[in-house]
Amino acid sequence: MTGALTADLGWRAYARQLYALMAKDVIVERRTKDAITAMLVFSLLVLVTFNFALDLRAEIMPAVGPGVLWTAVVLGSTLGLGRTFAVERDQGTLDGLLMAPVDRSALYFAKLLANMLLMAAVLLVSVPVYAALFNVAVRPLPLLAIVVLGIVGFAAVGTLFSAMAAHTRAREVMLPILLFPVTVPILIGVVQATGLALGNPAARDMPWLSLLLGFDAMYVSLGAVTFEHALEE
Amino acid sequence: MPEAVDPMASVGYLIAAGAATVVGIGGYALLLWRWIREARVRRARLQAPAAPGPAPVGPQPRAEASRLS
Amino acid sequence: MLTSAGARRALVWIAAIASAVSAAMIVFYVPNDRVQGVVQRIFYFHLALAWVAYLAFFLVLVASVVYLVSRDLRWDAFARASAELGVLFTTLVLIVGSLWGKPIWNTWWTWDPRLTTTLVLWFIYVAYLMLRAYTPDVERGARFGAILGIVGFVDVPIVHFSVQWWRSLHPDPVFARSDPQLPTPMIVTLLVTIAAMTLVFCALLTYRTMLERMRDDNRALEDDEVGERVYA
Repeated sequence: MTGALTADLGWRAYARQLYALMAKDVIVERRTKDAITAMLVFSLLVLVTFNFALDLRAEIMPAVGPGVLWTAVVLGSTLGLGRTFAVERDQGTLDGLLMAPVDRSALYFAKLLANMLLMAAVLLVSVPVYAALFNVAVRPLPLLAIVVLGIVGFAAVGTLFSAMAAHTRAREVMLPILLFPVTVPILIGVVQATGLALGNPAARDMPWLSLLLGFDAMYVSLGAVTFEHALEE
Repeated sequence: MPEAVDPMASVGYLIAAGAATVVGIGGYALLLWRWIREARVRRARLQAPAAPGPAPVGPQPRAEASRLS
Repeated sequence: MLTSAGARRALVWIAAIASAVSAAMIVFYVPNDRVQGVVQRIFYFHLALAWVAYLAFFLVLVASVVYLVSRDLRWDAFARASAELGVLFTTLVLIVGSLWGKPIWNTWWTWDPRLTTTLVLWFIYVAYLMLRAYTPDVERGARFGAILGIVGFVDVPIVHFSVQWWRSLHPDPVFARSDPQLPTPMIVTLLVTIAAMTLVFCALLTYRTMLERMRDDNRALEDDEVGERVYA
């Protein structure tokens, strides 16, 4: 059904729909700066909290560092993933979205890309701060693939789940409860892969990037197919 | 490689595990039985003819109320 | 599902008898494991509980897909029932596994792939129950549950692999047995226990689904009543 609609529209029109939807989210975000600020500040705060909670000496940083970094990123990102939906629900614009003459999957991909941008922004700030705070040498290039695949996976599941969480009594509080168990493979994958890239002797040498790729492919597809069911009134 | 086990001491664990299973499943079954009874009572109450209220005046709109089935 | 009350009661009796037989076999029939001794007998119902838990969540997946396609709330009632039972059995797997681990490895918990995957599974389906409980609208709750029912189960093999790779350098405790090949009495006991546990699950599922549908019907009757009182 979605496929037929895409075929009718042609790729250019589809891309234009996507861009328009995304631009709406990005523009709203730029004006309010709600989510991005909270996400950034919270991620940095978690990094600092780890320093108080754990004795993060230089010797253990190679083993523990990737976990510290990604936990901070994930916690911070989860804060923001729900925001785009909370705003839409509060403003009552969700119905408008559903009635718009756009392909259903475009709604999903637009939100997905917007969330990915948010997470990328968080990482862009968190990684250098992490490297500075804990005096860790971080080579950005090997991390790029890991970061991209990790973001895609988290955002794929997070976008779908935040659409559902927004409609529950607990609102955004439900999102981490839904998100964290399902994204365990991503967390394991990115932490291990980051460890391998940054020279953690204890990291397991397994095809983590393939695992992440498989997860991403599976969940982006699932998300695209089931998203409209989450949005229906 | 599991360490050598004192067979007598570990019987306690076997019994505890068995008891946990029986209590868990049996307890749930009992709960289920009670919930079903409550649902039956509620259904009977809901399906019983409504208690007579004050004498209605004029035409009865109730008769036309559609029942969602 | 089994709609006649007589068939349901028969199922309960069959399940009860099978459970008694299985318990008797575990206690009296099967020989001791040479390495672990008596406590190894936990293995039979631990594995049976795990099998049933995975079966329950698989059924949630099937019911979820059918519901999304058909929008028949009776399939959602089935999914709700199976999910709740799945959480019950998963909880038991974790408790029983812990009680088995303490005597043989001297630790209440270990992050070996199977236990860890079971723990993640527990969280996924507890989240399912919470999602259903916190979604006020019934039809929306059904849709959300269906989405999570699909997404959650698909995740299980991925979680298993990722945990397995993550633990690949760790000498995890192995559910070792004295013989690499299970001797026949053990195989038979295992199969009987799995069958009995599955029958117990089917009986519980039948009644739990019936309860969900009764509750749905009651809710509809209540809405009718409220509607009539408002418009009368």
